[in-house]
Order: sequence, then structure tokens, then C-alpha cells
Amino acid sequence: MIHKTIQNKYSLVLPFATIIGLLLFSSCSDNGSGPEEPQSEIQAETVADLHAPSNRTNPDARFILFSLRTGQDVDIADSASTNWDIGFRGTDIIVNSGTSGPGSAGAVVLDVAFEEVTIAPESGYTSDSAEAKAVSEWYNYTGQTGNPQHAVITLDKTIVVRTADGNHYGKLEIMSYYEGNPDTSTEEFANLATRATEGYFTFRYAVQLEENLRDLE
Amino acid sequence: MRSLCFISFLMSVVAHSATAQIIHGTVVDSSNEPIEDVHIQADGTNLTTASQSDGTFQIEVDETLLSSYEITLVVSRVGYEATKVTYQLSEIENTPILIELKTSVYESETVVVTATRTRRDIEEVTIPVSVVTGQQIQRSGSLRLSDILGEQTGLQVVNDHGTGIQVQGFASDYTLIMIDGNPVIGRTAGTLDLSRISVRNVKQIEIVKGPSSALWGSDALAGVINIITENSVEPLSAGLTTRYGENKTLDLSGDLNVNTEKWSNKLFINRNSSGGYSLNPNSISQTVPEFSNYTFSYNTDLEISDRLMFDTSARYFTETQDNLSSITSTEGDPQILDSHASRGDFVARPSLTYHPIDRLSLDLGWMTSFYKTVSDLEFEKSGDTYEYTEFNQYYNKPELQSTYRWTDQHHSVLGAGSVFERLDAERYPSQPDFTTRFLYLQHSWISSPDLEITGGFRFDGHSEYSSQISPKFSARYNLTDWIQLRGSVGRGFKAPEFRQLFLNFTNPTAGYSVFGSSTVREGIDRLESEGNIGQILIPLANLDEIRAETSWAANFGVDLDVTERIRWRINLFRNNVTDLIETAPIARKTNGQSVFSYFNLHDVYTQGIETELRWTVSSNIHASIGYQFLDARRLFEEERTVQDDQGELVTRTLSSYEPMFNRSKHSGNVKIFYDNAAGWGTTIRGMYRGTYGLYDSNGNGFVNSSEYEPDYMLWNTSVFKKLFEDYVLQMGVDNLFDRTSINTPNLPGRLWYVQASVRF
Repeated sequence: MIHKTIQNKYSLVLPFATIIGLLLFSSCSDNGSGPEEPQSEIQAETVADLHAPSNRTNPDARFILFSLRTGQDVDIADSASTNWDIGFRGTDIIVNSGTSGPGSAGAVVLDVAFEEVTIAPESGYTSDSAEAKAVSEWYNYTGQTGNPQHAVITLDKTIVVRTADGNHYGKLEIMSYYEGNPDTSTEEFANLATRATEGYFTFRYAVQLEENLRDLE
Repeated sequence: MRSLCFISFLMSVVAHSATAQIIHGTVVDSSNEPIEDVHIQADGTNLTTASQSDGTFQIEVDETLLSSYEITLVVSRVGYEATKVTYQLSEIENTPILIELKTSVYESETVVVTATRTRRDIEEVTIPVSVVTGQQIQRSGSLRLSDILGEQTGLQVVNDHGTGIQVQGFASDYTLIMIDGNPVIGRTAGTLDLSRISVRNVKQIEIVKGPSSALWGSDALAGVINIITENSVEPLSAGLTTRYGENKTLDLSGDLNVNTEKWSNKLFINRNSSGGYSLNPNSISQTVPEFSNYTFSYNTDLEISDRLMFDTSARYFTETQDNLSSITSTEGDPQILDSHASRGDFVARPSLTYHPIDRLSLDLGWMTSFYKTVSDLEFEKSGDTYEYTEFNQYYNKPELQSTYRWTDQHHSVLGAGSVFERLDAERYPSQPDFTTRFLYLQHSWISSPDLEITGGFRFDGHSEYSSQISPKFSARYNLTDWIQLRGSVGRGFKAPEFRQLFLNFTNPTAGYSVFGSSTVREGIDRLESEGNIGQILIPLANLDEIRAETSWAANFGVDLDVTERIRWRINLFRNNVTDLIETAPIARKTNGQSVFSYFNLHDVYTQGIETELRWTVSSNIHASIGYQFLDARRLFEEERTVQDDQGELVTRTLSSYEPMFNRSKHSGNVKIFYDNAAGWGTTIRGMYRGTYGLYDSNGNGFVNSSEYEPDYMLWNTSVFKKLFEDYVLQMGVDNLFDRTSINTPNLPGRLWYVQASVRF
């Protein structure tokens, strides 16, 4: 897709390219024989109801690990590898780096809608550390006075992730923290007795499978 | 030419001295009482004068008038119908003349003190004052101050640890509440609970909107509400009122007035009790608990001599409340607590008023006041104490005010005093106190009956904070005899309160914590060391020191006497507020609750239009319709992480003014009062509150379109019948259509009541 865009740009600037080419052709000729443009290959998925309960009620609850590159869960036994990119446990989200894992994963939380993120930044990624997790401000807890009360409401943010191998980029939006991705503005949701169970992540993501290419669209 | 002029001038001087005539006279009203400050002009000339306090005046007539046989005087004063009277000069040469002025249709005989700290006619003052009369309060069947204020245009009853009042979009913290000019103290979370104040013995309530710190100091940022208590002049009079209504609400009031020529006494006693009510069926706590309270007030005026008066007013209020609440024990099972709470306040103000000369009045007073609350939570089963807290606030204010009338056109008010405040409560372990010294000066220039300009300022020096200077300028101009314009520009301030500085509180049942700005660091450190902090939302290093809240405001209004029976008042307001203090969560505790502290929010503005149309349909029917448009917004500066053209991270600061919570853009009321000669009367009043944001579901700090509560209308009605001369029977229904919501805890649903009163 990106290849096509570049071709279009060339056709638009053809007259200029011709003139500049006439002046500089000999000095640029070496570049023309470089490697081929990498081919963008984007995998976009929506994951529904990934069950990742918090350790508040069950102290033995483990993180549910996930690989953006394969689109599959990764067993917790494999936690000391770079096979997983991101992990969930209640409202805690980890990435495979720093204090959370051996990988080179990183994340940045953008105040931009999912669709509007078309390219991953080159730098600015943070790893998990003892002081702060790379991904923390992804929800609002409404508390006692909120309406609905005591609810985890997702925010209009996009998490850009560098995968654990350090070579791929993806974007991710958490859409719901409750089973079945319910409408949080209903009476049913507001009533704690009828509210859907928490700890179920519904999220969508898009990952660039071509190594070191940052295009996400 | 020049010499000719000079000669004619000389001649006129000579002629004048030779034939000047002085006209003496007195201006009185229809009951033969003298009227002061009446403007008198000889028609067709620039000869003017004004009447003295005894109604007398004199005009020196010059030769140009003496050449004619007649003189026409144009006599005018605000609140009275202007008249022209013509006299034969020869007839009045040695006889004083008497001019009677009729009150104009809208002359309400209303004298207000809140606007200028002097007694002035409401039609004359340079800032608009709304007055609610005692008669309106009685006919509306109001018991407590919150009942009657909630029915006034531009005032919105709001609930936050009590029932408060929102003025021009400001929370109830920003309105000064006074009884006979003495501030009422004792606020919880900034709200002065208006249900503490009985309105049974009220002559009138004066409402001034816009900053009045130039006269009244801190807290008068949004406005001032001054309750003027009833003062009978009869030698002996007494009244008794009983009332019973829904929720076992019982109200008994009695008053006794004993007056001699030089000594007057009034005593007022009120008992008010209710069984309370519950709006949330899932909670064992009542929304408004069972309570009973007493108000005692006594006022005495003693005329020591013609020039010296002694005046003392004292008021005591005490209330007890009983409720239930529940906590979850460490084992996870719920335990029920008995809650007993009591509160009381006391205020006394002895004062001496001395008139060394007619034009000068000195008032020396000492106000002393305290406010006290006690809360006692006990386990229902064992009777053991779960928590016992006491809160005591002491307030002392010596003050001297002098009023001087330089001429009829220039009046000045100069005052100075000190305020000593102290707190004694568990939540304030450091027992903080602070002192304020203040000085205020106001000058009024009454250029003509049509133009008056008032300017003044007040200086407040705090022991804890930088000093404040609050200026205010206002003017009234009568464009025509039916259009009055009023405008003002002024500054208001509110010093940080004790709680905003020194609070150190953890709610024993709900589990949240609140710290003042001076105690927050220590508090967070302590909670963190105890392992109670789950997440820090605002790092302590990012906290700024708290500052006083200030506002600049402009008000512009017009009163239109559209017809003799219709008065239409329009007022536009704009308040630019800086450093407004509000609570915000600073950390999240491991129990899911938050830790709150106080912050200066940089910019807030409120602006709007308030309008009211009063229509005297006939002498029996008075109708009014009021409306307020309000736009209250807070500045948000948010740092956002976004991408540049190459996809790299950049931080952009996004500023926008966003709507504030609990503010209705539209609100209004419609009222009809009817009474007839047979002693029957009825009222119907409807109050509208437009949609308003209440809960911040998404935590962004401002109101989104999905966060609005529905609008509603309340209808109150009452019927009364006078029996014989002295008895009145009244019955009424408030909230006729039974609107209830957990979001409006002050509205218990439909309330009926019956009432009987007698007055001797």
C-alpha cells in the first residue's frame, strides 16, 4: 500500500524530478540500485472477551500474555521469552520489557483515535519499570460518585506497541473491560447487581508484520 | 460688547441684591411625613435645591423670575411621581409652602442596607437589589431560608453537605449569608446549610448579586444575602404559628414584642422537627435524618439619648439529628452504626450608635459568634463508640463604621475592624487561627435624582495571606422616567478556608480521605507508609501553594417600567475568576476510594442574563416570570501526546473552556399571588431547572453531552384564609407532582402541610 503511495507522489512531481534528475542524475544513480522497498503487511484483528481477572480477589491470578505478531495467547510458562508482547491482569497492563519481561517491547499511549494513527513513531517508547508501567492511563475509574458507580470506563486513546523482538510495530485500542463489551450507559450496567463481569478485555489491534516498517495503515 | 456684558452683569448683581426673594417650603408624602433629598427646580431656570432631612428647602429667586408674577417648581424624587406646582410669587413671599408628593406605582417603601451599608431606597441604589418581602415568605409557606431562596430568579438550590445556594453560577461557598448585617458562620465543605435559618420572623430578604467584597470582604464574591428580621413598632404584640406536614414535620413559632418610646424588645422562638425521609431504598441511612431544632433570638434597642442608641441582637440555634449507617468490618460482615449528630451556632452583637452631629453617624459594634458540631457514631449492638468528632469554630469581630453626609449630594461611609477566628477540632490538630484586619471606604455622589455614582474599596489584611484590595464602582442613571440603568465593575475575593489549608480527615464509613493543602504532603506520606496508597495521580512535587480566589466582575442592568403595572428587569453579568479552589483526587487508595486535596483552578468564567417581569394584574393579583441564562465554564489546559507529520511524538497543550458541573444553562420561575377583600388568598409558583451535568462519568473534568441530568419543574401551591382580624389558616402542597430523585436530596417528594397562626 505504501509502495503505491510513493508511486503516486512520483507521478505528481514528475516535471520537477525530470529537471532535478537532469542536473543530479549521475550522483543519484547509485541509490537506484539499492534493496527493494519493503512490502507493508498489516494484520488487523479484534479480540473479544480475553479473560484476564484481577488478582484482587484471587491472589494467584496470573497475567494473560498475548502476542500481537501471532494473534494468540502465550502460556505463562513461556513468560521468560520474547514470544509475548503484552499482558493483562485486571486493570494492570504490562509489556514485555524492563521489570516485566526479557523482551525489547515498548509502548506509548497516544491521545489520538485508533483510526487516526497511521504510522508508529520511531522513538519515545517506554518500558515497564518499578515506578511506572508503560501503559497505565487507559481507563477512568468512576468511583463512588461516578455514574455509573465504580466502573472502569475505557478512554479514547491508542496504545502504540513495539513488539518484544523490537522489530515490529502495532497499535491497540482497548474497547471494553467487561464481558460482552456492554453499553456502559445503560441501567443494566449502572446496577452493580446486573453489571457484566469485569476482567474481560475486548480490544482491537493492527500490527505491521514486515520488520522495521512503521506504517500502520 | 464685552463691556456691555460686564455692565449688565453688574446691574444684575445690584438688582439681585435689591430684590432677591427666598422661597421656603417643606416636602411631605401622603402621610404627611417629611421627605429628604427631594430635587426642586424652578422651571425654565437652572435654580435647583434639595430638601433636608426634615423635608424643608429654600430657593433664592433672582430678578429674572421676579419680573414675572408666577413661579413653577418641578419637584421630583425617585420612587415618587414628579409634580409641577405653580405659585403667585406675591402669595408666597412670607408664607412657607407645603408640597405633597405621591408615591409612584412602584415605590415599594423598601429601604435596603445591603447595597451601601446605609439605609437607602431600593429605587435609588446604584446596584440592583432584589427584595423578598416577609409577606411573600408567609404566603409561600416557607419555613427555612432554602425554601424561599429556591423560588427566586437566578438562585439555584444545590446540595453538597447541606443545602446551599448557587448565585451567578458560583457554588454556595461564594455567597455571604447575613442576618441583620452579621455574617452567619459555620460551613461544611463550603456550604452554609440554609436549612439552619428559620424565615418565620423575617421582614425582608435582600439579595445583591455580583461581587460585594468592597463592602463586605471575603466570601462576598458571588453576592450577598442579608436577612432583615421583623421589627414591630406596636407597644405590645405577639404572634404564634403552628404547622404540621408530611414527614412528621412540625414547626412552632412564637414572637413577643414589647416596646416603649425609648426601649424596644423582641423575642423570637422557633421549634422545627421532622421525621426525615429516605430517597434511596438500598441504603439504611435516611437521606435527610430525623431532626429537631430550636432557634432563639432576642433583639433590644435602647435610646439612651437623642444622639445615642444601644442595640443588641443575639441568636442561638441548636439541632440534633439521628440516623443509621453501616460499615463493613474487617471480617467482611456489615455492621450497623447509630449516628447522633448535633450542631449549633450562636451570634451576639452589642453595638452603640452615636450621632455627634446630624450629618455624622458612628456605629461601634462587637460581633461574637461560634459554630459547633458533634458527631457520635456507635455500634448498634454493643453501644461502643466507633467514632466521636467535635468541631468548634470561634469568630470575633469588633468594628467601627462612620457615615458622613458632606452635603445632600455627597455621602461617605468609612469603616474598620478586625476578625479573629479560631478552630478547635480533631480534623485540625494544629488548632489553627488567623486574624483579618479590614478597612473600607465608600463615597456616593448623587449628582441629580437621575444620576448617582458610588465608588469604594476595601482592604483586608490577613495574618496568613497576602492582603487583598477590592474596589467597586457602580452607577445609576435614569434615562427617562421609565428607564433606569445600572452598571457596576468590582472585584471580589475569598480567602482559602481553614479546611482548604488544614483539613486532615478520613471518612470512617466510606473510607476516603481529604487533606488541606498544608497537610496533604504529610497525609499522603503517612498513608503511603501504612500501605494504603494504590496509585498517586498527582505527584507531590507538582503541587503548588494554594492562593486566595479572586474575581473581577461587571454587571449591567436596566429596569423598564413598561406600563404603570409592568416592571421588567434585565441584568447582564460576567465574572472572570482566577484561582478558584476545588477538590480533586490526588491519589487512589487500595480500598478503591480516593484521597482528595484542594487546588487552584486557574480560569473560570460565568456569564449570563437574568431577567424578571413583574406584573400587577390588578390590586388583587401579582404575577411574575423570571429566567436566567447561565454559561459557566472552566479553562482546561490539557497536555496531549499526539504525532507530528512524520509520526513522531509531540506534546501539545490543548486549552478550551468547558461547561462546569451542576450548572443549569436555563432556569426560571413563574409565580402568581392572589388575595381578595374577603380574606381568601392563594399562590401558585413553578420553578424550572434546566439540564445540568452532575456526574463526571468519564473523568475528564467537564460536562459531556451524555452527562446531563434531565430538567425538571417544581410546582408549589398554597391557600390561606384570614379569619376575623387576627387568625390565618393556611394549607399548601410543595412539589405538587411528587418529583423525587436521589440527585436532589433536598426534595423529599410531595409535601402537604396545614398551618394556623394568630397575631395580637
